[in-house]
Amino acid sequence: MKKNDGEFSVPTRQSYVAIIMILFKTINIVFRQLIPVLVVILLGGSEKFDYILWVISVIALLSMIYAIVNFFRTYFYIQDDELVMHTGVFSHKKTIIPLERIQAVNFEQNIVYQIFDVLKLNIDTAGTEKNEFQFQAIDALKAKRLREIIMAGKKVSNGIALNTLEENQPDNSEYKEILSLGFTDLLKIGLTENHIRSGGLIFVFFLWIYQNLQEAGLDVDEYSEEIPEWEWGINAVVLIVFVFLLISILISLGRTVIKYFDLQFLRFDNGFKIVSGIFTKKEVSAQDHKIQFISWSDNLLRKIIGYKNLKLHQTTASKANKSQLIQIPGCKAHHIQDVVDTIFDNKDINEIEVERVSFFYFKRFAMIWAILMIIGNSVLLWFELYNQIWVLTGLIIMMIIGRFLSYRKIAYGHDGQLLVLKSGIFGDKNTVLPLYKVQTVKIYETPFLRKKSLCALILRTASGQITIPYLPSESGRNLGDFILYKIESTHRKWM
Amino acid sequence: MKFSNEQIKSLQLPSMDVIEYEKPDITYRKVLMYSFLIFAFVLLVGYFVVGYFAEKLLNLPILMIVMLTWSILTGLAIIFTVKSYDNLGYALRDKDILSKSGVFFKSIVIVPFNRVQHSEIEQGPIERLFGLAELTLFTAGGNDETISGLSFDKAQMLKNYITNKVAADEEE
Repeated sequence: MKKNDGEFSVPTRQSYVAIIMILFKTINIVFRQLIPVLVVILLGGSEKFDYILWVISVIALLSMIYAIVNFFRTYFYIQDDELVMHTGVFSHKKTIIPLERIQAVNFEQNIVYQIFDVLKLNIDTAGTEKNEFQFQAIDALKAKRLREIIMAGKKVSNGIALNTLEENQPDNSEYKEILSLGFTDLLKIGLTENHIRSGGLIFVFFLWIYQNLQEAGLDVDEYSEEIPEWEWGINAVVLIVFVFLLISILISLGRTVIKYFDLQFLRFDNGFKIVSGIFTKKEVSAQDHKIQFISWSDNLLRKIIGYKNLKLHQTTASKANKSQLIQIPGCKAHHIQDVVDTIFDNKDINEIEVERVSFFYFKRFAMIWAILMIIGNSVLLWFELYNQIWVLTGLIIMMIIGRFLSYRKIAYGHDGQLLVLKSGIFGDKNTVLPLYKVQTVKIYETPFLRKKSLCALILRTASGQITIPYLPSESGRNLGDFILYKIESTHRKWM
Repeated sequence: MKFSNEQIKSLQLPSMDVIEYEKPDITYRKVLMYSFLIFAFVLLVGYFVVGYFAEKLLNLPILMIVMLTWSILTGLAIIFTVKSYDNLGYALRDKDILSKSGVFFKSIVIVPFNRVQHSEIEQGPIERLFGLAELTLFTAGGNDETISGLSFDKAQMLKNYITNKVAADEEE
């Protein structure tokens, strides 16, 4: 194994420019937090202006001290093929990352950095959402040398060439099309979106604007008073609901067309790829080994036309985890089957036996919300808000019915290799997770669950977690034990 | 490569329930208590600072009520802290580490060694005063698990043990 010839084997600090960078960053953060306070104090009479100046000076001084201490407390070195970093102002923190675990060393440089010829350095390790480590400023030469050494270390310990670490994607000719969406498909997808949700979003949006206008001193109600008294009859309500629904549908339609325009779902040698977009073509690819689990779902409307929304949950080394989710709307059952066959070696998912969760999943929820409903209605009754009582009661009853439907769907099972979780309210959702992809297992109990000897089993993966709620304590533990056995007895890499 | 896939009866599997948990260092209870007390006092000081600007807050009846509530809540929180210490525990196994916590909402988290990306020892100011440290194990996807209240040596030992396990797993 290559030794690092002493380079970076002695503790190395950041460039002195880092002090300025840290100082700037801290002051920036502190002041952004303080702006509302300052505005309030300044507007509310400036008698105590002196004190504010004092406070500002103290903050500035403290930030400076912080920056300097931070600079002297941050250093790194390479030892036995591990990158060791010491950080922390108020607390000591020692981070050790084996070189081979480092996925990428990223540089960032804006104008200020360019002037001083320094780089901001981010060190990414596999699958974590946030960066594991960041150096504010390192001399450009040093930083580049560090990257070389880290990458060389990787190369040696992995025994593979560097460029294979990058996604080496095949030529266009090697892509096989699984599915492409035409304009009619997009129309159908847009029309069958969850309109209740988009409607709700619009409602919240308008409410937010309304409140902001009011806070800004605009009397919105004043204008509405000029309108002659409305007859709030059934007609008006129906009209409003209709207009609302229409707007929701139009918005979902627009969003769908923009997002999924000309979508192609392709298969290459060892992965999937989607290409889509109207203004800018967006490409996302996922190699098979990076896919942690998959799920597909539909809703009441899509069920009728047989469309499902397929999601491939993959892990990435990049920061922008969310944009790496592969989502394909408008999949038919046979497309899903295709994907499942490809990833999971022709397993028949439907043959996996599933068990339902405890009835308390529904009962407990219903009880709690029924009690809240009684309390809420009593309060409303006290203030003689009779109309609101109907709204509240309606909403809560809808929620309870929704929970009941969800209870009827939710079921889990495994065949020793794959875990299947079925859920959904009006539609159906299926999640399929290879057991060995699980990262950590968690058993969770509330006092109520414990009393009924139930628990929740939470399986965390590199791409989000899967929760099985309200299952018998013993089954949960057994399943957990089994999954651990699966993880610990295979050497198959999770990515 | 020959592939075998024998059936495993679930009864033969090691169970997470028959584990004896090790408790964190007893001084960690003090750390928990002091940390909370500091937090509570900062809150109180903050109240007086605000009171300096809005003098109504320092009127006697309001001040009495606030102080009373503050004492009761702090007292309850201290009891809760002691309780929460009693429910902390960790256990090492050959291939994974278990960590349990929670007074009312209890949880057990099991981290297999062959999923650990890297680990970190951290010492807060109060912990340093008592020579304690916490060990955080990072796995992919931002799932990290922290084992608190270890003596610094113990944390170092655990970390070495886990690092060796991770390395051994890699070599196989």
